[in-house]
Amino acid sequence: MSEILNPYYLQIVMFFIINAIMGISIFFTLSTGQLTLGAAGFMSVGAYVGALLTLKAELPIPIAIFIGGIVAALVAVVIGLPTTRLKGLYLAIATLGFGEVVRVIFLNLEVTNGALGLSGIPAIAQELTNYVYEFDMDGLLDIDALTWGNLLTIIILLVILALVILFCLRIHNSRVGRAFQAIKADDHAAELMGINVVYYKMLAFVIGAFIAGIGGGLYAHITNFINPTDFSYHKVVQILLFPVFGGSNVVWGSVLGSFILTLLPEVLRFLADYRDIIYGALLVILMAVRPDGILTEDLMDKIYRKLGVKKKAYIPETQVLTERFEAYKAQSKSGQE
Amino acid sequence: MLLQLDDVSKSFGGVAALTGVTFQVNQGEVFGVIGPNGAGKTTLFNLITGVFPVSTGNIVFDGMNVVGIKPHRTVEMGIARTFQNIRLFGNMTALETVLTGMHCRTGSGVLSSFFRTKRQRVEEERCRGIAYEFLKLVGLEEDAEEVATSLPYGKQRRLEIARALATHPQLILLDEPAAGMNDSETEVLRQLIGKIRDLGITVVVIEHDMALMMNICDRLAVLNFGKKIAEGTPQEIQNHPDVIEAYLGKEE
Repeated sequence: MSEILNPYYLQIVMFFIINAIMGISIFFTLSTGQLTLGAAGFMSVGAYVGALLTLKAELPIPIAIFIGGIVAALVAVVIGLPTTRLKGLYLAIATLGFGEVVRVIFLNLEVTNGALGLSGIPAIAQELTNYVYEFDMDGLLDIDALTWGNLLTIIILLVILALVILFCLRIHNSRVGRAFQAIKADDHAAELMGINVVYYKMLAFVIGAFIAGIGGGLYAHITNFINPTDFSYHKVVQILLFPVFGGSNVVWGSVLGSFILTLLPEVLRFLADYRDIIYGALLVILMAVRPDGILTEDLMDKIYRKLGVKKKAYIPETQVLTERFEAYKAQSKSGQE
Repeated sequence: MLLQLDDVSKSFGGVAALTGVTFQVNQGEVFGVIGPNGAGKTTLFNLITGVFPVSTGNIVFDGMNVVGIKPHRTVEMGIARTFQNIRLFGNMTALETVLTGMHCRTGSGVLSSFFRTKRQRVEEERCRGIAYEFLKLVGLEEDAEEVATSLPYGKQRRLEIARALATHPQLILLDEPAAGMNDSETEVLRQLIGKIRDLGITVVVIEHDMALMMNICDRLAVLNFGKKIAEGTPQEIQNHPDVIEAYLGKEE
């Protein structure tokens, strides 16, 4: 047991979950057809705000992380006002620039401790280990307190990830989700079908930033240590790869992508210096074979049908049009008399 | 009178697409706009729906000034349209496409969708029922679960009309609805336009199929080089010397 549950494995699982959340933050904005590269920027805002609130203001971790997400979303509102009017590559470049600006600001601020970064951030696992002692769970099921702390952290992270996935799935099958899809497919036609394109693009951008901010806050309180280079350009590309690799049209794509791409470097560790070559080659092959990523909408449809979870939506009998026909007939008749 | 264009002009750079166009569309009629290619017909639709601002002149819809209003707001006001080149949303089923059209007549947001509130579920269900009614109206009820862009061409055109009708308009603008259709498809379309009129919806239609236009339209306006050259009943238009000249050239 203790072999499977060693801290190294458990930490990889934690990173996978955080990566999945980050991937979904990009996926969410991408579902309106907006390619943003600001995820690392919003993640760092969430991470620094959250860490400073627990370190300096000694707020409880969940509240600090939540506020971090809110601040990231507020920053997104300010950034989004000009940038969500941009399209395609222009938006990508503008948000990439934003990420760099944020990084340089954190690098030069006194309160963020510059290039040294923030250390000694209270860890979620540590807090939970204290609870384990308090509730006398040390040694329960032959698992020591420290491992319990890690396991409980993973459970909490999984719950958060599940909520984020549920959020995406439910939004997708709703009025808002259809507006997103319409904008992604053809924003001009969407606008002429009565959809406020600017509003919905902004909405997706801000919600994506909120998710990234939460991801950043979780990251800070799991690694205990953050510095500006954690959120550099390299990080953006890494996060962007999760939805692109796993499939950028379905939320499960980001989850699968982050799972594979978090695990792969660890599995390939024995290759030492050749690791990046294999990693890069895999990406090239995948993009050549499946340019839409591993999971596509068609594939997910098939999986859902196999599992028998996709029921045909119930269509009730309504009489709106018939009534309207009758009403107009009556109205024009009385007009003639 | 539902729609009034008053001396509307539009130029792109130095090119005048429309000059001094004036006409009125009455409540409940089918009004046709015809003219040779490049006469400015689609530009006219783009001005009415707020895609471009007018250069000069005024457009009044149902007593409200449309000039300077954003496209999605004109839809809320009651103006719907279809497109000359079909613009359906990829990856959506026919039913979802029509549901998207109902966007501006419904109100559930992010939080109510996430929590699946009772109100949101009731609204979704009712919308599906109404969307299905619209599919039946255009004869696509069998294709409700088909992917919109995989439908045959004629059905895609009718699906676009269903999507536009789902915005619950007072006025629908049809941009070449019969383009590329065969005779039997055109006949189905003719009947559909009759049904739309029976719903009390005013129709403005651009079309090159003259037999169809003379059959369905109460009145027509003819554009040529951005100017209105004639307006009247199909009978009057057919005998108008300027119209004959625009289409067939001048007799030597």
